[in-house]
Amino acid sequence: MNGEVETTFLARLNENLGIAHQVCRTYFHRDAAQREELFQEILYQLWKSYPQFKGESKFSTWMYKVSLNTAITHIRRSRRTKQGAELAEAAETASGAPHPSEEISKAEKVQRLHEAIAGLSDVDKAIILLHLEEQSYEEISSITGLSRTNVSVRLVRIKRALKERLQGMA
Amino acid sequence: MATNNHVLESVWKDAKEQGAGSAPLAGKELKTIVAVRTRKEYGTAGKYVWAMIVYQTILYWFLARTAETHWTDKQTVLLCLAGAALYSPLTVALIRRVKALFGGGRKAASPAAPDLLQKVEEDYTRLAEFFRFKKQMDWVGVPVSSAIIVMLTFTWFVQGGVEANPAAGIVVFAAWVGVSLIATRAENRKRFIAPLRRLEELLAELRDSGAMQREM
Repeated sequence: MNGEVETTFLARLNENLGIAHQVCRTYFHRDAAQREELFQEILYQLWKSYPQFKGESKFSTWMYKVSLNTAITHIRRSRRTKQGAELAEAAETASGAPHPSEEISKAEKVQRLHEAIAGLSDVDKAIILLHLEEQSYEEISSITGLSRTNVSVRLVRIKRALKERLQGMA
Repeated sequence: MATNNHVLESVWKDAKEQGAGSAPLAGKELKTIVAVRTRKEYGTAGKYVWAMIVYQTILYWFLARTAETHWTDKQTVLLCLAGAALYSPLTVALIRRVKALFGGGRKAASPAAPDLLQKVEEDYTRLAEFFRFKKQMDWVGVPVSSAIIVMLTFTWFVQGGVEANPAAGIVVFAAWVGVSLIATRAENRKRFIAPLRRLEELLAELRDSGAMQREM
């Protein structure tokens, strides 16, 4: 990658850096070390694939594709260590100091949502993440490779599952 | 906690706010990450390549050295040549496959980023093809290399060679094959069977549209 391309890449990357962070949080919300590891892997894969990006899609759509593909591959490779780390992290979270009372409800809601999403399958996590990030059905379909109908049917099922999980936590 | 869609999205916004504020990435920082990752990637691929090169070098060196030192012994020389002839196609095929797995596979992928389904399909096909080839290679390579090693070891260190000690030869050969198979099986389970199963699960999930339509 030459200097000019790298500068453009860096500027576009920084504009959309939240995408990489959201993907990392969705798949490893409890495990900070794995989250950092995945974040770096995503940046590397984006840097490596950028010369092939010809602008046929939006930069953000391309970035979601690369980030999610990397996350799915990363999870497959680190599944065993992840489970151990998440259990340790869960224990750490449970024994942590309470937040100030006003912050509890907001922080707790966020925590519960992440917990509920953590219980979904890897593919469902990708779909709900894209939906909550306000991607259209067409974009979700293009990123995941699922048909538009399949995406809408899955979203109904995922939301129902999330609703049940959140009610169970309340 | 109320759980309608609006609340789900509002909580997601809160989550984004909590996670916001991460500093933009500097060029130097990106370069460091890329350098570290590149080293790691080459390191992983390098392990396979080096192990392969070392094993093949030892085998060919062993055959060449044996043929050279027992030049007058026609049977030993023929055995060495036969071993090399039997093994060389496997070496060539292995080099091609390893190159395809670590280099060519990336070139073969679509130029733009593939979607999730396409990526999982590509990963599965590449890994399954390599595993299929590796199994075929194990079926031929393990007995062939075991037989060569046992016969040459007997020729060198046991009086009369395998011809004078057929039972011992068979036992050592069987033990060598057994140990190799146990090691191969463990390696296959860790590096191929478990990852392939995981990819199959993902593929099944990604192709699950029919089942979902019925559920709805």
